Amino acid sequence: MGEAGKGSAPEPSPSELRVREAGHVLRVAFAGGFTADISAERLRAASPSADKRRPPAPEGGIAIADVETVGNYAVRIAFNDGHDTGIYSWSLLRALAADEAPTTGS
Amino acid sequence: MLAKDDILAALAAVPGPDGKTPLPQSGAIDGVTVRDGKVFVAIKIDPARAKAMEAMRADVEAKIKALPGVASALVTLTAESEGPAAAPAGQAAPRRHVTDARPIPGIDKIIAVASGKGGVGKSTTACNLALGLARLGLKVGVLDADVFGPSMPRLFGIAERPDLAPDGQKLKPLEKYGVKVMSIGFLVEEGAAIVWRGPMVMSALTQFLREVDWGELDVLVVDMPPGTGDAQLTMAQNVPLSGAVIVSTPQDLSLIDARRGIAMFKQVSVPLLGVVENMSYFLCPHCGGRTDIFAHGGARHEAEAHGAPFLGEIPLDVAIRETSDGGDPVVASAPDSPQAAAYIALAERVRAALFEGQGASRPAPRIVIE
Repeated sequence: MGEAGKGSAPEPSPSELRVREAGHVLRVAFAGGFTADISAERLRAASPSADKRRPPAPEGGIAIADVETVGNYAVRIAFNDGHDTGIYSWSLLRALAADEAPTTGS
Repeated sequence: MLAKDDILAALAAVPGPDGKTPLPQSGAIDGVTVRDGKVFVAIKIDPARAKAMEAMRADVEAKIKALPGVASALVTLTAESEGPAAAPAGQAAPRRHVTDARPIPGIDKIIAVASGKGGVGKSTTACNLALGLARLGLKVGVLDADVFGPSMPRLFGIAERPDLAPDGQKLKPLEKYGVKVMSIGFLVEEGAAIVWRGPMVMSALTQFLREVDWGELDVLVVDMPPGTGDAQLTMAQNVPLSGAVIVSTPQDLSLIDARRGIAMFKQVSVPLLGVVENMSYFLCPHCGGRTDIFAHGGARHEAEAHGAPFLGEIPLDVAIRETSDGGDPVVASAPDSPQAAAYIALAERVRAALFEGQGASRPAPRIVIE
């Protein structure tokens, strides 16, 4: 927890989370129409979990194994290196997406 | 004569567990045995991915069966027992499902009735709000999430224990005044202490949500424990709450904590349906004079400050107190009384907020795994 929406502005909530390229990329589409690709590597590095020790990266690089929603405010992302305790709030995803170039189309 | 190498050659086109390296080179093949045309192959996999690997297993079996001279093929998946998984603990461990945010089948809306502080009449409000919603024609359930201080058995005057549902798996909630109720208080003696650590609370709440036969409900009212701890976080993480109602008395001491409750729900993106001012004023039954014991209007200001609707004021009233202690809540026992009217008005506002306003469907993001 802790990372979730510290400000009082309404949470930017995503409309779609799409795991692409065999788990190496998460495409986040926000309700406002903004869409960006975040690499699994970057998400893994930005994990807000207290338990983020890193085993050697699996062959072929870090990939997303699973994504599941947590309440109304976040998703939990499981990676192929076994790390699955990071809870990514909408605002964290928004902040990560903001640094990426917006994408168009699918 | 069929040899091990023939089998491996036939599998060169099958991608290994990582989806790329051909299976024979991936090191995942744990053993190949050929006996009288019967082929046995074991493939080591990460047990957490057993489901995903089933397609690969079937593919391997089909490929071997297609070989000339093969009478039968049995391919089994085994848990990885050595290799890189041995170093970092937990890598090969099955995934822990700490959270489970699946919607609960049959339940349309779940609302939390919360307060930052104890003793403000949150449970009494939750109980009468639920009865008010039921009077409006909704199918309503009450989940008492205050495991350390369950009040619903007393408020509803229920002393029975819940039975098993016909499926033999789930608990059947008890029903009174047309409302389904589940509370830890049904399972322990009144006055017995629940001395539990956080994880126990979490699993009890998860069971109350998912292993109780709620049936079809329009609204499940959750009576939250006071504060912003484990139980609240569990509820916020494990259920898509449609909204929260904050109960506060008008004095500053209580409003400070109400603010914490509001901040908590904001942090976990649960829409605030509004704030109720409880024990708002006292009408003297003898002289008819009105006394604002805890001051007045504080909750309304608090709601306005947070851009949340003010859901109404409930007076400090001896009839509410007596009916609550007596297990005969005022909305059920005296539905036409002015006291009940206050709760029914509250229920109407909550219903409006729930089905038309902030609590109306806020879709969860679609998750697509390509």
